[in-house]
Amino acid sequence: MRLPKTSRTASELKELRLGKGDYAAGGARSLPFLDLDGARRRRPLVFGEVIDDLSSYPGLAAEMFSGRQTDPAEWAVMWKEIGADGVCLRIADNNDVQSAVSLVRTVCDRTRLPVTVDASADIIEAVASEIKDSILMLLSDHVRDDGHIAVIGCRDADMASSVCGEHDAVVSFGHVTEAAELGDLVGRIEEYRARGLSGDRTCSNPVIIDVTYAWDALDEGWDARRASMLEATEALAVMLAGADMLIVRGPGAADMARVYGEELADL
Amino acid sequence: MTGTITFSDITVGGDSPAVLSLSITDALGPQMAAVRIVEIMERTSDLDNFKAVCIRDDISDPEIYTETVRVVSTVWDGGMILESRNPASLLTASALIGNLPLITGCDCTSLSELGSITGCPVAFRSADISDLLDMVESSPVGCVIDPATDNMKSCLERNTDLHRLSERIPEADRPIMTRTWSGEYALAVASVSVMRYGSLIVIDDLDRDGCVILNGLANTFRGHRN
Repeated sequence: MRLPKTSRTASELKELRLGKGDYAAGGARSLPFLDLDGARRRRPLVFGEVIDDLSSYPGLAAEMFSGRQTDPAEWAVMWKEIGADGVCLRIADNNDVQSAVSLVRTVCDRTRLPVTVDASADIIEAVASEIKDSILMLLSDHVRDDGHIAVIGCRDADMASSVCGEHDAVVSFGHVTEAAELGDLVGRIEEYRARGLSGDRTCSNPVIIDVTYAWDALDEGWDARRASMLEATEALAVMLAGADMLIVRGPGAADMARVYGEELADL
Repeated sequence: MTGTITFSDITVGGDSPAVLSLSITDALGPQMAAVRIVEIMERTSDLDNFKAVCIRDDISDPEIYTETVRVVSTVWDGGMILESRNPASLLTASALIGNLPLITGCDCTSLSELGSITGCPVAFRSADISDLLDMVESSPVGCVIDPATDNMKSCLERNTDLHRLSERIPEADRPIMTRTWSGEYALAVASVSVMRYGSLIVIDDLDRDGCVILNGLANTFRGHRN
């Protein structure tokens, strides 16, 4: 049977430089991974989560870091050793500003990876003004013009379009909270991607998605393997939807997400 | 929305969540196949999308295959997929089952003939999409199409291609079947298929954790695939 062509062309999305300028996120020019549409051979970046306050951190996840999770800088270095592309540093609100800045600086210097910082507004602004030798991704409610990149939480594509406009930013559509909401999250990512690929420049920023929830949803009888499998599957779902960056908690899921991304991107 | 077919009173395709199936090989022998089906039922009884089992002919002995199918069918009243390279095995085994199973595993001509004789829907398999749609065109019975994916990448590419073709060519408007193996990578391939237009997923084996995750994914992506 003679078949019609099914390939589709699209606008190229925005690419942002991160870290020391040697990492790039975004820049897609097709639906994710589709050679059919001439996909760019680039996989999503995987960010390992580091938290400076372990009081509510799941014990099952903590066990996987061989004690290095008690020192955030050492933990970040461990993520680099196991192949993560970046570090997501979550700093507790009660941390004093100067020690928070010092921690971010140490993580940047020791890992030389892209770093995203999730902290209170005063810590974020202090970090932005004092660290100038690395392009940080900073959780913000507004776009930035200080050399760093805002990570802006958005409900949907309309909100992302109106808050970011054509400014450089990273869009976060939140995180997976339970299985039933994964489809909704995927739908929001796909809508944003589709608008960007059809030429809407206000929807062309890279997207970051947090898939760590699998570890917060542990039911009785769950073990680390099952949580890792769920986290990796959710990572796969958002990658297929068009996420450019993922925040993961477990090393197993980080590894699987990286391998899946490499295979799908044909690297 | 993709077309639908029905086998063993199970509807595949359309708005239905992906139908999931674990496999039983006749290499176990009929006695162990009985143990295996009970084990599958215990593992998946609360997972609503695990509606079928696939009985695979691995040793090419029609008598053993038929006996394996008979033993399983005395315990299992859900969907049945019969897979064999031997048309005679499929013909004999399908006659044992009251509600029409899905048959697969042999060449296109044999499957079409078997479909005509038994009334069973069939699963055509080819990595060449053009060949696959030729098979559909010549089929006298309802069918699912299996683009013979061998990894996540080919699953994504071929399922998407078929989905796009289904909007333009009636022969492509058939439920897509994905056949995969065991373990974590099989879960990944099955997940890609569930998220990208797959309607029937046959897995050699998956542990309880993998079954729970895949079942949840099938419910989550119900309708989203269209």
